[in-house]
Amino acid sequence: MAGDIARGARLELRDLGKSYGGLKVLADVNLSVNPGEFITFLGPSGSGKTTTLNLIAGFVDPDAGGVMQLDGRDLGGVPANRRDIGVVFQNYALFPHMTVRANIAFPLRQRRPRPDADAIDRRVNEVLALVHLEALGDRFPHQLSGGQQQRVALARAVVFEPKLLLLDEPLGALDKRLREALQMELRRIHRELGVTIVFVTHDQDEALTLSDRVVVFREGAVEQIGTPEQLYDNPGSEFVATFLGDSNIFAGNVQNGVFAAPDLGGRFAALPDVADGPAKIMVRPERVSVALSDNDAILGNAVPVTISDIVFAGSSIRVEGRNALGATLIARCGNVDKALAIGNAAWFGWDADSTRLIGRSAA
Amino acid sequence: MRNPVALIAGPSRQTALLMLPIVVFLGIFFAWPVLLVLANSFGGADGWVSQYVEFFSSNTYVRILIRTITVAVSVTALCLLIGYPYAYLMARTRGKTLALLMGVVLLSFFSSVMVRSFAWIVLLQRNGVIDRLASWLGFDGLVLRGSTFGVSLAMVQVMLPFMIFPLYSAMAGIDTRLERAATSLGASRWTIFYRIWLPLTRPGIIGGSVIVFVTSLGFYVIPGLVGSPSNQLLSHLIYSLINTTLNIPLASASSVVMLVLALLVVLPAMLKINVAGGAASHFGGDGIAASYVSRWLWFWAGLVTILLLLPGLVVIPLSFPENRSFAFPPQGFSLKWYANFFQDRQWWGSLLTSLQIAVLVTLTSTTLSVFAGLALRRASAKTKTIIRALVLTPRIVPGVIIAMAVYGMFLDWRLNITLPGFVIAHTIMALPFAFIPIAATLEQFDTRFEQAAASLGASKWTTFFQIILPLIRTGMLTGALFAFVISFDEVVVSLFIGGVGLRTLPVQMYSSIANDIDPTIAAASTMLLLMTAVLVVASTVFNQRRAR
Ligand SMILES: Nc1ncnc2c1ncn2[C@@H]1O[C@H](COP(=O)(O)OP(=O)(O)O)[C@@H](O)[C@H]1O
Ligand SMILES: [Mg+2]
Repeated sequence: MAGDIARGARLELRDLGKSYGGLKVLADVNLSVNPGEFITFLGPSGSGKTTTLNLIAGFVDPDAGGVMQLDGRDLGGVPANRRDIGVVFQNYALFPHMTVRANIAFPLRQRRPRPDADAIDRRVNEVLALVHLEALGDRFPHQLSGGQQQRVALARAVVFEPKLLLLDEPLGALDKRLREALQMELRRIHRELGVTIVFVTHDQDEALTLSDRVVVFREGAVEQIGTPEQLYDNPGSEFVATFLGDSNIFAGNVQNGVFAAPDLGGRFAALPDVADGPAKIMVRPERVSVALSDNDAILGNAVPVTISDIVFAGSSIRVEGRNALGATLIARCGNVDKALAIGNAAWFGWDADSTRLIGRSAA
Repeated sequence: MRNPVALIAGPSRQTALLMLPIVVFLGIFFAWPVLLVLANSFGGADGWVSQYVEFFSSNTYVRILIRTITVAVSVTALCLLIGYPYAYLMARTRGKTLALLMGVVLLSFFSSVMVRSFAWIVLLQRNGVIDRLASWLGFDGLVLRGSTFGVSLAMVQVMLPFMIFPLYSAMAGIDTRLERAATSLGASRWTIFYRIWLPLTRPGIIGGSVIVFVTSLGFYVIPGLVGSPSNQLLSHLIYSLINTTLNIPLASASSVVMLVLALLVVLPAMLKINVAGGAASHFGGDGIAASYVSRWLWFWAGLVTILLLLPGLVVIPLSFPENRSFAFPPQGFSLKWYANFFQDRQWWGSLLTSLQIAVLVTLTSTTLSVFAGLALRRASAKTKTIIRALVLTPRIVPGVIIAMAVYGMFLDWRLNITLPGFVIAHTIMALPFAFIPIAATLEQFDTRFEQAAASLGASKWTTFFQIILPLIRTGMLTGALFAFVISFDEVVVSLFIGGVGLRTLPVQMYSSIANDIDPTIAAASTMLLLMTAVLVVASTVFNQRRAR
């Protein structure tokens, strides 16, 4: 089926902002989404994800100066019903007084010229097959489970072959198992249709699993844009580092290319190209190894801790240690010394390449 | 129209456009004439307060004023005392029992005020049912007809639903777990009532009391028919000042006195709660799990049911007598009064007139309310408050004042005794009732449905007709039903603005009671009761089925 559907559209956002009564809730979003790309907006609640989506969909108007383009066509002033953008809503917004078929046929009946009844029927059947709901066409939304409603919402949003699909936390109301199943489904549909997708979530795992690229939102502004690997390996800020996955962060000073945190003890590998001044460094837990003594001088970094917890988490072991300042550090290891026990003094170490400088703390 | 979602979500210009019809309508036909009454009250040759000086220096008038206040206060207090336990019981039951308790109140609420007034006349008349009951019990010489007590008793019965609905609305939302929590903390039943129920139900108490007080203040029908000239109330003073002595300035001043009294009660209450909202918002309330319900409460509910329903039933046997008489029990059996109803143009014609007006009023008030409701959804909080207040104000202005104001204005516009005049006047009265359920439904309506429709390519008209309208149907039908009943049952305004050529059924009934002994009114009342019963039972069954 992918053959008869055009590829996704290119979406261009420039200096997009939104204020409500003088209060700026979204500031200067700049983003370029490639045709067919799966991009995710990730951020805590209230960070402006939905607002951005609403701007793209045309539900609210941006502040003056903002530019939105779909395949080079300016969207400014184009009403929502002329944008040809599919939208899946958080609570699905299925029309409760219409059957599944009628819901899915609704957008087709709005096309001008209007397709004939047979064509509509055929297309509805195709899409029902795409989301595996062939048998439920005559049910009403309230007769469906959450996951089924989700599929209908998706079917309705793609039935008219939009080149851009917006999804606002579409899996938020579902339990973990179902979420994961539908994530896979969504990936499949994305591959089959080739449509450009903007997906909103506050769930980092979902973002990392699904996306080609992730846009991290914070307090109404874009904090960082990158592939999941880039964001995880090279977070641009402490916010991104802590929002995506676990992290160990140390605040200190750089002097002559050497990072030092005097109250912590331990040693840190050189940071040759870093200018002098206050700084924060970060290391991911899976990069950290645990030793009872600092004899592993091959590692560039080592911090003394007191072991506070050891948790077997299936494929790995999670070790928590308290540093000299009382902060908890995390290590995720394949295996640990059998002698290691809670209360032991130990060393958390990692090699020089694993250290990340994450923005400078305010001077 | 740049943005289809803007039908609701959009710029304030469209919000304003949608609000315009109702604002203009109420501005011209309600606010303006009431202001004219105010202006007229300051007229007169001997200085601008001369009417008020005359009013307050007349012993008769002051006595009427005091009597009116006394009646309104006692009716309100009685309604509260009688209605509170009943509403409590409603809030503590669910399912069929709740439907039954609700049905009793609805049945009473929707029975024509004229039917109930007629029933009270029959009950209270010399040698009537109550007279005989009293002398059988040994209370000889207790004359209720024409007494202020008789008037109050009848008014309590008519007004009780207006008290029970807001009380129930306030109570239905209270979580029984609060009580259980309080009990587990060692609170006595009295403490729970005093410390938890009373404060939590205060909005219902205030809301119900304000509506009952204001309505009693300007009540016309029952004092007019059950009372006597020697203990006249303010509403009748106003009517006779206009119709008998043509003293418009003094009538206006009397109206203003009544209005000020009403406002003295309404305004402080309004600061506390959304007053007029309680009246029609009882639909959709859902009782919470039953907790402890005393046997005495059921006994009380039985008494209230008797008070609400039994008096009306007295009209049924009265519709079958052989002779032209209201004697009870009636003599003989015949159907001639029913035949007479459908043959006499006065009766039959007035029914058609009433139906015609009520249908038109239903259309106008529903349409205006839908527009205003759409506008209300996305208006700013301040605009919302203003619109709500404007639309609901007719509910808290005593009916007789609206009647007099509209009558005065219609004199200039030559709208008295015309169909458009009736439709306009009744729409003013019906709007608050139609508006409340419609606005509530629209307010709950999820904006995302419109956004979804827009994103799927629907124009704003398609969205309105295919998405919004079907989804607000229940609220709209409720509003429409209220509008129809209010118009069909309206008496006071119709008495003022009607005339020989154009008479509604309630006015025909009123003048029949006032001038004749004609059992046709009993036949008419019986048919109206039957209609009401069918309507209420059908809607209760429908609601029960839908709830399942
Ligand atoms: N219509 C509105 N009026 C005023 N503030 C709004 C409106 N819509 C959203 N906001 C504010 O904008 C901010 C961003 O909201 P939103 O985009 O919904 O966040 P997210 O989807 O990331 O949770 C929030 O602080 C919210 O309160
Ligand atoms: Mg959101």
